[in-house]
Amino acid sequence: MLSFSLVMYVSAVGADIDSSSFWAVEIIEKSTFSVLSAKVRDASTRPRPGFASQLIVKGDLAGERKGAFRSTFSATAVSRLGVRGSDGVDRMMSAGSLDDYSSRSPSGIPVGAESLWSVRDGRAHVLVGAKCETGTVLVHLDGTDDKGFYKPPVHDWTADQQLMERFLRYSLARIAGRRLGNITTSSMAGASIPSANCERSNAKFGDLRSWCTAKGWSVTENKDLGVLTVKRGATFAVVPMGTAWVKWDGATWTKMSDVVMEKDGRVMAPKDVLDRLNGM
Amino acid sequence: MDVKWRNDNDFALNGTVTWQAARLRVPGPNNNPAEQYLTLNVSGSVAISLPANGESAPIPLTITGVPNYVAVGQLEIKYDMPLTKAPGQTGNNGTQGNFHGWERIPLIDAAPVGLQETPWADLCEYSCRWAFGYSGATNVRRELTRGLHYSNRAPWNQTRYDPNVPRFFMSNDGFYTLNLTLFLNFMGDPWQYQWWEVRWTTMYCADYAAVLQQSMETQGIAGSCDFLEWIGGPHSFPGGTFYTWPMCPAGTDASQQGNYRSYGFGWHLVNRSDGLRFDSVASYYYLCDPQGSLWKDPAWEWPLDDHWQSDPGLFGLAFGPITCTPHFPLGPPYFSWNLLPKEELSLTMFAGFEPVELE
Repeated sequence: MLSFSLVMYVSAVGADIDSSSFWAVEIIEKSTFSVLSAKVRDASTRPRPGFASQLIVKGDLAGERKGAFRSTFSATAVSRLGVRGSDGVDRMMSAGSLDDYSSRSPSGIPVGAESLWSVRDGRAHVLVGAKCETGTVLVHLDGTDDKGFYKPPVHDWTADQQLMERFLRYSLARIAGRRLGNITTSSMAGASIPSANCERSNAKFGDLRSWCTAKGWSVTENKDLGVLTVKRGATFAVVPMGTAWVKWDGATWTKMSDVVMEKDGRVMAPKDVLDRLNGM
Repeated sequence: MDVKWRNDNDFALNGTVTWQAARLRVPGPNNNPAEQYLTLNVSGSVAISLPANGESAPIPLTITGVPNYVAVGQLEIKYDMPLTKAPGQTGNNGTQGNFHGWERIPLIDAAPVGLQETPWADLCEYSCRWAFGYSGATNVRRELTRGLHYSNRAPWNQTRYDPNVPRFFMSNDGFYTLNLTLFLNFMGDPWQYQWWEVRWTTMYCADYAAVLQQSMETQGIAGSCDFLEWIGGPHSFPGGTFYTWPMCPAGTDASQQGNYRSYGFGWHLVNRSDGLRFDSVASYYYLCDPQGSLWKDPAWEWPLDDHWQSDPGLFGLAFGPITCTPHFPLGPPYFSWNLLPKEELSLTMFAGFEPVELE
């Protein structure tokens, strides 16, 4: 039998997940989604100056719920070079009026410097702005009516919104951490701890866990929400990841100088957060 | 077009190829998605020589009867190809009376504007679906607007409009870019990868406008994007909100009056071409003049100097042009497909309905 082949090449199709985004994959896959693609890019890898560090994640509904309906999870977190807003908060390029968005997160714990939440027309959506970061998470339901137009199924959004909150808090913390320089040891808020400077603002950040260890504070982390509680005796503070807001002594949320970040596995808090803890 | 065959045997083959028939397998409309065929004409016999472990010389294949309108589909060929290894040792590698599927062929209205590479060229697949059956810049521009809005001849995935969900259009320090690869990732590969059901891609006005501009460029139509805002209002929230007359978002049944509602905008991005405006995100209940008749379609050929779905008593809107540039991220798209493997087979598009070979 004679054989030959027509010369034709087809690109390979496969999951597009880079190793540095494993944490993002882990968060998503502990939920009811599976990750289709996840990428983290440093600003320095972009082809022109001025671009931003980016995190892009795309997921598909998995597990028991998959048979019932289709839903997708998509998220971005971007860290820009400069601050756009006159009030020091970078914002997404949303075009709509946001009339139906709420500034309160489902848990009531802040995300970023400000966040806006909405459930409408078959999707749950959140827009987040921080000092140099923007983020968004969209959970979208697929559904089609008899004529082929969009029609979402009835859906309980509770679990999805908790996932959105957890994911966004860790995403912002990690993407913001990419603006920190190398970690060195220095004295900050009364302790010698790993610290780093923000390469955008030159503000100082210190390792929260190391500071707590040095100063006799305990740290507990709620990984469902991405929230740390630091405590010494009856004194405590709630320090969420990826958030500029800290709750002191169970009283009111106070907006600090920058968000709590993560770099090289360390929780890096702005110096004013550590200074205030040191004064408590 | 030129065709080459590769012989992976360790012996040479010689013979002839006789072109018997050709057709284009094209997508059907959304309400009738069964495969349809456009008959093409081929003829002639060509001697072919395949060296051992090597390729043949390019063999000309002339296709006539190409439709004089925008279309896209898979080229299917029927041919006879008796080959001889040595005297008395013959076989036939023809299609045995059947059609064999070859490449995707987009038939575009005019020479494209700008880049002609993957993934830009992959957008041809969609723009040809959206403007399928039409010719001439005016008609094609209108049908691209409608086609993107209604996801005409969609393979499976379709788009829906949400004014607050930015997806593929990004602004970074003054650069406005469309992540075309990401858009195509979400739309999926209409050729090799098909979902069992419709997947919906939610996106906002800037995404629609940028995709429409790029789509027009695949069909040789130049355009730009216009940034619309309320006079006196800043670009960012909370100020500057203006409200529209009733709109029905893309993806929703625009024939149903109950699907129309007023939207509040901080700003809005639309398309401009030839001094006229286009907007594929929504069906507008009224013409741009609120005193006018019912429209119930996306906006096409609306004038620049009129109000845009706003009460004239509220001062109308201001228009400022911006330039949308394509953005090609590193790496291939997730659902990538080579529209035509130009390294080994000549990339042929039909620009202005005359075959033009692209480098």
